[in-house]
Amino acid sequence: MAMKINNKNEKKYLRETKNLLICNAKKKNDALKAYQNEIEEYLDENPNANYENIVEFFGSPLEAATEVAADVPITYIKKRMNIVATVLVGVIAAVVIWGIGVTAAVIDSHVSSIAYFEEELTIGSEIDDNNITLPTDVSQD
Amino acid sequence: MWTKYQKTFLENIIMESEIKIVQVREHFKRGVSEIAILQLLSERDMYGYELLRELEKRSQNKFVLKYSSLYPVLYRLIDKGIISDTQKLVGRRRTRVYYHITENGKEYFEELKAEYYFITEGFNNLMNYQENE
Repeated sequence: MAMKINNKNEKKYLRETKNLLICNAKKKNDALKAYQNEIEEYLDENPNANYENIVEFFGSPLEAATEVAADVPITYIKKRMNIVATVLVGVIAAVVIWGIGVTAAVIDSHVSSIAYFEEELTIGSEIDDNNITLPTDVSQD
Repeated sequence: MWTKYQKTFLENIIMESEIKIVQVREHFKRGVSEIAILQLLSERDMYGYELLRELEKRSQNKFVLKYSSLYPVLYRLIDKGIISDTQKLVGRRRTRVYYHITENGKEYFEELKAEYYFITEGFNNLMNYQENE
């Protein structure tokens, strides 16, 4: 069960470290839990410690993340980077396809509306030319 | 008289050399941190923060490790079965992780110590070598 973090400096430190960690979920959780435990020990003895004091004692979030990732196999990091690259390419492709779709729809609706007006004008002129007879029902009454 | 540019240049060189010395110190510490941690754990079980404080105290502030350097060593030692960790509830909600040296770890530590003394002896010989005439 995750423990509630009350100290804002501790929260900030753990959040920044978490964002920088590149490793599997278990290793990430183990590391963050270990850091949380030790920071709380430290804060018990140093209740007025600020963020800089935490960094001084525990290392910067970047140092912490780098040390944790030191044992992570390069194949995992490469795989992770490939996943990120694939997702990025996917998102870009989706945006481009969406853009093309929207552009096509706009052009299509524009062309359709022109065609509609042209058609209406054509039909209108035909009516003007052909329907010149008076209503027959009226004369019969 | 030094120009402003020359002063800055010299200051940069001094600063760079200081950074390099700090890096060398960190490398040395990294190399022996495993032995230092096992030395403490061979006496009694300790938790991470306690280990850091104890290292500081016993080395008279000359062997100061950051937790970011301690954590991977502990993790590696657990992974190899040299130490084990036990969670203990402290107070109402605090969990404290105590590290304990295993039987395998004790053997490993003895071997590591012997290796350390062997290397340092060789290194001392090297540094104090005087050619017989």
